[in-house]
Amino acid sequence: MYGDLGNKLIIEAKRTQQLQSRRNGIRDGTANVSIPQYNDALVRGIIAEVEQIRESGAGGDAAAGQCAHFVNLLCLERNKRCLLSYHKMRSEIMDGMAWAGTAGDVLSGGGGATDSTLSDQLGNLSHSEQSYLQQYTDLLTQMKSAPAFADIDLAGSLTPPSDIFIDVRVLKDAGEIQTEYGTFNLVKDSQFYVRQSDVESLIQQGYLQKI
Amino acid sequence: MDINIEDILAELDRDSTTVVEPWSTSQQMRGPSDDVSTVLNSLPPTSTAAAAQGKQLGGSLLAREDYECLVAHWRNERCSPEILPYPHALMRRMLHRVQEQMEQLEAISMNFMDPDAMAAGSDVSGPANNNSMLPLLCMEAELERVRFVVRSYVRCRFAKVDRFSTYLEQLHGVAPQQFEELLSPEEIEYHARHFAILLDLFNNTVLKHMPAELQAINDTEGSVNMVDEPDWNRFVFVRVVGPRDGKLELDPQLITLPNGKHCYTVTIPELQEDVECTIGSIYVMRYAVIKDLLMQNKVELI
Repeated sequence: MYGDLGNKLIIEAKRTQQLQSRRNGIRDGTANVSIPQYNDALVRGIIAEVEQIRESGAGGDAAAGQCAHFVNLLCLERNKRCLLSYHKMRSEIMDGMAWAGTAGDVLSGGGGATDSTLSDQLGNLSHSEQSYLQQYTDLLTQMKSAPAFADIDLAGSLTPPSDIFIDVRVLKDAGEIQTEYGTFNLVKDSQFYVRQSDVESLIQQGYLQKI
Repeated sequence: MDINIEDILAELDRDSTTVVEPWSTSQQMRGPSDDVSTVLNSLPPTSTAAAAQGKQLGGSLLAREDYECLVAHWRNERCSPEILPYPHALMRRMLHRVQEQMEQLEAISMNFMDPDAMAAGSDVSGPANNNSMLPLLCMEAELERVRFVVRSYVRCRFAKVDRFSTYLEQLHGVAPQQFEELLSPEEIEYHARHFAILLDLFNNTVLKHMPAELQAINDTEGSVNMVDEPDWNRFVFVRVVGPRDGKLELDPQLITLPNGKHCYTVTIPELQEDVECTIGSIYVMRYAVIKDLLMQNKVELI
């Protein structure tokens, strides 16, 4: 039947969503948002099916012709719905990546970070999705630097601040990186007792651990 | 032979406060976080610019009231199914205060570093030092909390803008005036641009393969409505707080029950049933039923 391929796509979308929510349940979301491979074959299959239905375009004003036309239209509509919901779901995951701040690393092919998973992710996106992600990241940077929100730091943590000072342990990466409030020498496995607002971004990026 | 003289006493009270008022309001205007700064004595008085601005807008000037108002807005926004109108004046004041407080903090901490070489010479964390760090820490924590509330509020609204983008686009077409009151300028820009790039994505991947009559992204005629409206009938928890100024007798909608309690009456349309919401109690109610009272700040969501 015509709608079957679309159904497969939706089942895949459903699975992705469940994976996402489960992973977010385990580790508070922010650090690791990943996106699965774009299912190019299936999408192409559905689009081919759409073409086929369009060509078959039953005409005629007899009752049978009208009925066929209507059924075809419904098939098209269903395929459109499946495709759109699949892409919408993926775009929402990409939005999440952009907010979490990992999008920049993904787009540069994991260039800055030595994380190999990030460079894999770029291959998981289709071409139009790559440009979408790029544009959305640009939009977010612009929003964050909008004069109204200059002091708010929109991408900051969404868990309420409870302590001023916290203990953090350095998980990976040695070297001096911190800039804004003075420099920390991040030697692996060393511990710091620092102000929370200073290290929040480092925790988000996964350099530091333990609050 | 009981004579109730409470009103006379109240009058006397008011008289005495008028004398003190200029001092007390200016003190209050600095807000809870600024109170600690008076300890340091190193501060210029809070800028009158913010106060003047607030006066023009006709709202309340007190930082504490503004903060409470913001928290109320935040709570309502997080619980309601639709986007609530953006409190333009309040947010402007709030953001202004945050900025000002950050500058003050910076100035104070500079003072800490700079003039007293004594502090640098002796033990830095020594509590024997006359100017203690405590007020500074309090101010910082305070600021961090306010910033968190604002951030969470703005992010929540952004998420809703994303979710209802087609609905907002439709609203923009139908009632542009209402659209602009609903959203802040930043949100309007965010909405427009995000909608555009999303549409780009869909056009490139899906819609260009579709026949012309199916290319719309906001099709309401098809078998499924593509414009996702807020769920007006979602159940929400509400607490009935009554009029903000506490003058119960001035509120025309308020009804006094035989047992002396005050209540609002709302009607649930599909059941044709009237419900009495007494002040101070909590109800689970459909959002559409409670919406008008929410807009007048007579109930709050929890």
